[in-house]
Amino acid sequence: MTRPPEDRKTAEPDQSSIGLNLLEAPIRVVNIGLQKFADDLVGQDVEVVQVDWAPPARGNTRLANLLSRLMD
Amino acid sequence: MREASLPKRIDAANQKAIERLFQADPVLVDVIPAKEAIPALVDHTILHAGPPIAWDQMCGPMRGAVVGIAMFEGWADDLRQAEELASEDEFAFHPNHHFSAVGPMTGMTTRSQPVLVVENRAFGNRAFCTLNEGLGKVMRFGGNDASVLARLAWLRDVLGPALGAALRKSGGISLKPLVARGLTMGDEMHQRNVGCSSLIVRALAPDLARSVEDHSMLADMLAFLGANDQFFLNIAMAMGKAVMDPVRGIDAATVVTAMSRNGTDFGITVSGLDDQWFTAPVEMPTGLYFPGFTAADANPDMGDSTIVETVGLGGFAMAAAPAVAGFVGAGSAAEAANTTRTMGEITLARNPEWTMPSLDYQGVPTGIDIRLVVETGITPLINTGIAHREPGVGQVGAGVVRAPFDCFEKALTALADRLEVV
Amino acid sequence: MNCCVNQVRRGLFLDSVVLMQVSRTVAALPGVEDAALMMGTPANQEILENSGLLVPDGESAGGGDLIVAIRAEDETAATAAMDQAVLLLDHPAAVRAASAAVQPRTLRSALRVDPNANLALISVPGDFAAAEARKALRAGLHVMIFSDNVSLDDEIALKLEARQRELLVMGPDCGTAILGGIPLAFANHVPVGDIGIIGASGTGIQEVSCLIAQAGAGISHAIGVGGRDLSDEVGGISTLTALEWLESDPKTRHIVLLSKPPSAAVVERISAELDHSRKSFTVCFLGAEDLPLPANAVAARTLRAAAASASGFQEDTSGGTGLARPLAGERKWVRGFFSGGSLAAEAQVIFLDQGIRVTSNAPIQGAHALSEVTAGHTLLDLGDDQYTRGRPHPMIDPAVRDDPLRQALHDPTVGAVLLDIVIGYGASEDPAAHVARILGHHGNRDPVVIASVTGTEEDPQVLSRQVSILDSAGVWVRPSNAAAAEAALACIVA
Repeated sequence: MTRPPEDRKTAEPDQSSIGLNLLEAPIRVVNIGLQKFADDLVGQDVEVVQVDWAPPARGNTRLANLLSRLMD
Repeated sequence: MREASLPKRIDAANQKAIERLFQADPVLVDVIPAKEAIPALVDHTILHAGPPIAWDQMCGPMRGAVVGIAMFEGWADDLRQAEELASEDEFAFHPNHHFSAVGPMTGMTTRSQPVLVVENRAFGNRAFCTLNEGLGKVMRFGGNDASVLARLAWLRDVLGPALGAALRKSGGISLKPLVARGLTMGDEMHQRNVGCSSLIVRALAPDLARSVEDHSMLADMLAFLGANDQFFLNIAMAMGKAVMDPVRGIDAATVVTAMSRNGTDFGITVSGLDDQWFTAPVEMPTGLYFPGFTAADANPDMGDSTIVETVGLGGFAMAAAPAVAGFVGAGSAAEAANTTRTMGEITLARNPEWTMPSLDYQGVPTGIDIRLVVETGITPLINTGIAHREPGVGQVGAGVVRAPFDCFEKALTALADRLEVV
Repeated sequence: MNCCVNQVRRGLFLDSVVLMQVSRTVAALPGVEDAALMMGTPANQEILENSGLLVPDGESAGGGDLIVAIRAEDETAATAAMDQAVLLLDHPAAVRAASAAVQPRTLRSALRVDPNANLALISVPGDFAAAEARKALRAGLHVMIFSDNVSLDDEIALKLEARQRELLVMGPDCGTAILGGIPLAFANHVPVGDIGIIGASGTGIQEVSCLIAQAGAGISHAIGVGGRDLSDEVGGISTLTALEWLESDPKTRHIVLLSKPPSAAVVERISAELDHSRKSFTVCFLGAEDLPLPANAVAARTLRAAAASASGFQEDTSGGTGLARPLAGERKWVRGFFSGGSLAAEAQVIFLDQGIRVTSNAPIQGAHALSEVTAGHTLLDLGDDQYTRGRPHPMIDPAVRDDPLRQALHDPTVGAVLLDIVIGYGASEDPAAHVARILGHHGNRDPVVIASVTGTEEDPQVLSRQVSILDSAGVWVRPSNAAAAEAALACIVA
């Protein structure tokens, strides 16, 4: 499962998990939502980043829709 | 499909904007009379801080400054006459920003005042700012009595010309490295400038001494400069303006090119929307007050000094200035670092030349993207002084204030219209 | 004269678990009749209004704002409760306050923290889940969508895009996955082994994986695909990807497929896929009859049968007849209250297979919908949408089951109460103790309370401890959900 680099606005990923599916490499999680899920994963030594999420555009759906056309 | 490439087009435009920002080479080159720097500054023309505002909307301190500067320029004999002229539309009011200038607090810029000149050598553009008057009863807080006008006269006749001569002799002082040093000394260039103020005086002193024959006058000048921890603020502001102006007008770019307040409205300008202002009522700062003063005494937010946050300093660089955090009531050093990190959510880049030791030399978050502000709901955080609502009393505290979300909402909507997003 | 107050906190977002905890605390304050903390979306405002909790102050809230709504017996109580609520909101749990560094606010900035992340686990409110999933896919991550109330159109679009990018979407409404031995969201700690599971149901995966563990076998991976994946509209896109992955996974020998019965067209397509595989399969489409399966696949009608088929243990379908006691006179009916949709469905299968008529809010084929009959045996799925609008899922908040359970215990026509207790990650700290508290001094009286515990010894709640707590409370604990249903049946026919 290749990730075209230009789709990832991030630092260079290491080579170990490129082209692998979730069964072939350790999972590394971004948790967007219930904190409890991240806490449970931390307890199992899984790499997880918790996102402090809030509704986009402060809940304004008109703005959120505009944004989706202006931003990847 | 044109629509599908719109985010990419915006990203490319922003990349160009950031490149221009980082390519800047701001140099403090001179101090000259404003009328030489800005030919459009004729009689009865008054530049002020913030987006456009009419006399009848101006807050107390700004009105105090207007009548004071009218007297200083000799357009009125006394404050009462100045007020009459103002209310009869005899003065032409314009934002500093429209004339390549910036000014702190009330931000009065008129033809006779000496202005710092910062030249961005990468693009050839210049930006201007008056000299910082010092603390206490000063025009930037609306002061207009004899002592205020006398000081302005001294700046015009004595310090201004001397600084100009010294700067010309020196060939100019490169500002980016100076700011970089200041960041390692606990400055953030908005509420805390003592490091850079000390460095600039040190840099200027020899050429100043060569330019001023009268030792007593030289002593007065050095005493004045040495007593003003905020002297560098005005230089940092002119630098910010000089850095950001070449970033204006890049088609489809969503980077903020200016943030500014006039005591009534907060305005932003955005690269892809040229010089159009997007305004909303200013918010009240929250912070700490000097003994004897409370929030009830506070004037609403005011000044062009937010150009400093626009280039990644001030509140954005709070991690470099933990002492400021306590001063502005933002909390502990850890919270100062968190503020900088949070500003990282709404900016596109980190400035490789301006780094913060306490964050492992991460660069200051730079390039506010209106899309990110709207998406996250996080608005720019500004370290600001708080003026007394009565003209001429002076600074009563310091705190943090936010740029209003509405400015970014309006700008995003306007940009979507411009780019024909249905 | 009762008093209702609202306060709006602009731009304050808190996750549903936190909201539930604060709501619960506030609702328990002196004089408070009802309390709710909800985001100010139009849908939520309607819910508040219908509960008599919305006043004009609250109507000004937008979708990104939090409404604190309290109804109390008088103004004093309401004001005191509101003060307390505000305190709770301003001083969040010590865990979050103590963390020194701020958490990233978006996926984008999260990827700066870990550029090598490969899975986004999404549990934001349903209205926002699709957009987050799309961003994650475009950033090259696989996605697990725990959120429900995602539109079918969005699900299809996401899964098509995922397929094109060679990524997997687990969900929407995917409560459970186990990847490489790691439980995700609501899942149990089961031994690693050679049996893979692909499930359109979370609690189905939980029950099957725990029974497999009980039999001494283990799970290679359990992949949740979401409740609608095998619908005609979605056509099994994620199931297909999951099959491909497990096909090339050397650690997987046998694969269990779990779902409610798909349409004939989808069954045919799945069958064709299985036919191409070199591995062996157990196909459990709960309650489905006569599936056209290839030679390498075996059908199982229940979750327990699926676990037995996969791991080779013998099912005990006796229902524990020796332990059944006949129901006295008036006490004719069985009331089942399930937090797991598949567990409710499995119980229905077992009843119908014995020719016993049964009613449910989520009826399987052959069962009756609640609206059709008033009396009779009822098996309720309390996790169904009608119960979870504006409320947390019963697995997150066991209190959802409290009132229905109490009512059943005091109902003279009820002979047996059926419960599922699901433990593991994500479940509450002590589900058995909660049930025991509700049962109070009910003990061995009628109606008889029959339960099963879905879990393992290695789960945080510890299976044997949960069983023991229920046992002490007078509950008749059976070794599987199927066995519990059979035990209830045994009471009726005895």
